[in-house]
Amino acid sequence: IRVTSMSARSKDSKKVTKESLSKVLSERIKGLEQCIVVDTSGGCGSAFELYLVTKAFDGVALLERHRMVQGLLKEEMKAIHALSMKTWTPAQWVKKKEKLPKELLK
Amino acid sequence: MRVMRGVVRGVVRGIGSTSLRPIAPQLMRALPSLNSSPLRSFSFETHDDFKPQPKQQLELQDIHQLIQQDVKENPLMVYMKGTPNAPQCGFSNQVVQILKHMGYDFRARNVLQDNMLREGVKQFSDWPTIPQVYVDGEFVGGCDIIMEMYKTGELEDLLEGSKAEKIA
Repeated sequence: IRVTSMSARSKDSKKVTKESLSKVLSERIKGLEQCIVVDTSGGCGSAFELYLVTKAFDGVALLERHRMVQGLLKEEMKAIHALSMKTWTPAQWVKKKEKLPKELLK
Repeated sequence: MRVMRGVVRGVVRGIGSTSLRPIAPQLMRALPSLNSSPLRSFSFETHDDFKPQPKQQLELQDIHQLIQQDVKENPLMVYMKGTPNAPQCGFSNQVVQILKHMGYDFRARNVLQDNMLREGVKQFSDWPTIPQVYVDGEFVGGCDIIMEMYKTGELEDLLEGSKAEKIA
């Protein structure tokens, strides 16, 4: 198989914004208690940071949590170059949110 | 995902029965070089200008084979952007700094040197981003996971119990 086009951003992929990503995640993840999306590409929509809190992560290994979320974002990933994510259970969130910058929690 | 992992493990361990077809020498020269941890005093990274120009196109199949070989031969293997001495991305740099700080030897390939490698790496692990860290032939995760595991001490436990060599 010869792959001729290496561009991650194909003509068909719609631009991803933090609003669209937030909406998609809220729809697709069960029991999502927190969904914070940060566009780290300066508005380009090519790099995001996610903070996701749901009970669905209880008892699930870190790698599996990430794979779960990535699996839900297969289409969006075609337009995104970098995705950073924090995947926490409600119990972890209680401790972690203390350390987050205030602007993030608004 | 489990099937994928099983396949990777199967290939890495079953070397007696499923022998890897050796990669042709002319293709080997075409591939991005295997770089060393910054802790290695004699690590050097060949500039692209000095590498012989490949006559043959690399195929994805070759890349998958290369990765299998990489992770089999190197207990701590990193696919990154840039080189360990000159990372070209914040996430790749974070991983390199963590590994350097922990003192474990590792090998790395620069996915920016070859588009086929970049695509092949993502396909092989079924993971969409770079950097990617493999320990004892098993995919561990990207920057976030490595960082999280480093903070909890899980990474030290993992590396201590692995074949990765502590050199600092």
